[in-house]
Amino acid sequence: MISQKIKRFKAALILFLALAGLLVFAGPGTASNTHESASETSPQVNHEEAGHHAGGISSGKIIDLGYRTLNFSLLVIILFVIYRKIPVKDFFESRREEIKKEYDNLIKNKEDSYKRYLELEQKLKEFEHEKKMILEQFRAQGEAEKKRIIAEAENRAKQIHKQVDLNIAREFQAAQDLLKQELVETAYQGAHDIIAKEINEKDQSRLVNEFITKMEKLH
Amino acid sequence: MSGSKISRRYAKALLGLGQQDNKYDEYGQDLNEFQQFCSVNEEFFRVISSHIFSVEDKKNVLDYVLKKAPFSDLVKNFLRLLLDKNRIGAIDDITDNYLKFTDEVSNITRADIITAKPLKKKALAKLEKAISDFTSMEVKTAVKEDESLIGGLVVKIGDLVLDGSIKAQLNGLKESLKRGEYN
Repeated sequence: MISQKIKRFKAALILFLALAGLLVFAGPGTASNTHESASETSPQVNHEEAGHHAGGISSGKIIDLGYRTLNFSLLVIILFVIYRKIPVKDFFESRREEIKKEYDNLIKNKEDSYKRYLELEQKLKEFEHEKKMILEQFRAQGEAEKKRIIAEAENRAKQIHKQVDLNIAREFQAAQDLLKQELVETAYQGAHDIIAKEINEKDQSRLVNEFITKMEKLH
Repeated sequence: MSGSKISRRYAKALLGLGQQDNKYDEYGQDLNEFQQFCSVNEEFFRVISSHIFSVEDKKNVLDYVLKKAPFSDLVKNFLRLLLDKNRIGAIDDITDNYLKFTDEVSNITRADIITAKPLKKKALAKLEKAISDFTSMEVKTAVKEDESLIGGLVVKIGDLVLDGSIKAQLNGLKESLKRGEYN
């Protein structure tokens, strides 16, 4: 591939040099031609030449013809050399091969792309289907979750109700107990005060005797 | 080994010696006096039971006191031994144990009587007899007064407590009411 490019570059370079040479050689001819045309435009200077022109072929024209012939010959030689030097046929052959190959490649790529397109289309369809499935699944899960949350909330609400009832009952019981305790304490204090005030020696003796009797019974 | 166990051992050893020469009561009194002396003279007791002072210094202080004390020689030597062994700090425990052992040996029991009002002599004698019959031992009583009992009395014999006070009866009634036994 690289060698072909180098060859192509070489051919182009030679062609360029040939054309440049051609231009160089063609220069004097063209210049004389220009000169001639310039003289044609100024009638005062070339009166004499005009006279020759009317009479036959001038020497300048012959020289110009010589140059042109030489020019043409050189062109022919250069083209021949170029033709010999550059394998134009091979170049176009290889170029054709290359284009054919590229064309084949492009065709193949096109086929591949089409295949890929079909595959992707199939995949897209599958994705669509999968998407639908996932959405349905999510929807079902969501519904189940919703039901679970509602059931849980209901259960929790029941529990809270139960707990509240229990707390109320407990508080009520506690208040009742507190009241009872206060009542008992008050009764105790009252009894304590009355007995402490009313007790006398006789009662004490009776209590001691009762204690002794109980001890004797224990024995 | 716990301090209480050690105290019991020392007390038992002294009791053994006391039983040999039949002077265990006298030794018990000496020990009791020394214990009371220590509880009154806290500074003295702090010095002899301290670990800061040397044994020699502590011995000198103890000897100074013992020279003036009318204790028997055996008790004096016992106290010196306690000092040498760094057990003088446990003198309360040792004395208590010793007195308990001597009571056991003499078949004596001690009873604390706590009464709301002063007991008549006749009632006290009757009570002592009842306790003696109950324990089948000779009784030594210590009577204290406590007005908070309202009426009646409480008898403590070792770990046994016999409560015949009005306060206890009222408390029992109160607890029964709280439990709702009279609903």
